[in-house]
Amino acid sequence: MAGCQQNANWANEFALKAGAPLPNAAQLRERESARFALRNETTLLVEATAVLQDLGFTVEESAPRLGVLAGAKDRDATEVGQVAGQIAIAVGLALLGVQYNPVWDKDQLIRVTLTTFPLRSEGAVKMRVSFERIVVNNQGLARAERLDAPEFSTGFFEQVRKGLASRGIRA
Amino acid sequence: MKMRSFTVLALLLALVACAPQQPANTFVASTKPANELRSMQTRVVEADRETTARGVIATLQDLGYRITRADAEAGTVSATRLTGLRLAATVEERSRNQTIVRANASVLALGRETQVDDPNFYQANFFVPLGNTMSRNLMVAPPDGSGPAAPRPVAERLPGQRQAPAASGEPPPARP
Repeated sequence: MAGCQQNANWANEFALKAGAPLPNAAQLRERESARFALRNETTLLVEATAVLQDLGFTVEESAPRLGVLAGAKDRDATEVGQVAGQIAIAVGLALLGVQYNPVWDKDQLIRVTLTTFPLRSEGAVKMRVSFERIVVNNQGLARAERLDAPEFSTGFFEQVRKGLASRGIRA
Repeated sequence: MKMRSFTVLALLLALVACAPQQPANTFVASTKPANELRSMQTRVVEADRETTARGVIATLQDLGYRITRADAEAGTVSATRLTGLRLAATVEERSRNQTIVRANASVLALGRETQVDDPNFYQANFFVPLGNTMSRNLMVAPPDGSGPAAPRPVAERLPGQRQAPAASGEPPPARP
C-alpha cells in the first residue's frame, strides 16, 4: 500500500485500464438492441417506461428529447448459503487461532440504461437496453456485474412489443 | 460471469489499496494548467448539437457506462462505469453544423474523487470511440479558448442508499 500511495498517477492508471473500450462491444450492442417499426420515438419511450415500472424499476432519470431512460430497483442480495459458509469458515479458522472477517453480499441494486435512436430513413426506432447489478457486501465494498445474458434484453423487448400491441400498435 | 466479477473485484480491491486515506467526498482537481486540461478534454464534431448528444450517449453505453443523468436543455450527460469511474460530457453548439464536446472524468475511491488528467484516457477511451460511433473525424479544441466548462460527473445512488432525486427535471414519458 505504501508503494501505491507514492504513485500520484494511480487514478489515471486506473481510468486507462477500467475505461478501455469493451472487446465485445459490437456483440453486446447487437444483443441488447432491437428495431421497432414505428415513427414516433416518444410512443416507444412511453411503452418502455411502463414496462420498466411493471418490472419494479423506479425511473431515476428521463430525457425523452435525447432518447434516454435510466432506472433502478433494490433487492436484498443476502443468500443464506453464502452467509452460513462464511461463518463456518470464520469459526473453523478461529479454532486454528486465525482471525477472519466473514464476507457476504448484503444489498444489491439492479440498474437499467435504455436508449432510443430514430432511424428516420427506415421509419423505425432502434432501442438498446443494458442491465447491471451493483452489489455491496457486509464490509461495505461494492462491485458491478453486467447482466448480459440474452434473455434480459429479449424478454424486455417482448414485453414492450406486447404493450404496444395491446394499444393497437404493431411494431 | 464469475470470471468477470472476479476481475472487477480484483480491480476494485487494487483501487482501494492504492487510494490514500482522505475525508469523505474530497474532490482532488488536476494540477495541470487549465489550457492543457481543456485541450485534452475538448473536441469539435461536424454535427448538430442533438446528433452529437445522442452520439455521446450511444458511445457511453457502448463503453459499458451506466447513464446517471441526461439533461437535453443543458446538453450534459453523466455516467458511471464499474463503481469507481465517472465521466460527464457537455455538448455546445459552435456553429450551425459544428458542436464542441467537453468530457471530464474522475475516479472515486474511499470517498476521494480524483480528476483524470491523462490525455491518453480522453483520446483512446472516449473521443476515438465517439468518432467511430458517429462515423466522423473529431477535430482538436479551437485555439480561441471557446467551449463549455468541464462538467462535474454526478454520483449515482448505491445499494442501501435512499432514493436519489431526479436531476434533469424532465418527467418520464407516461401513457395519457
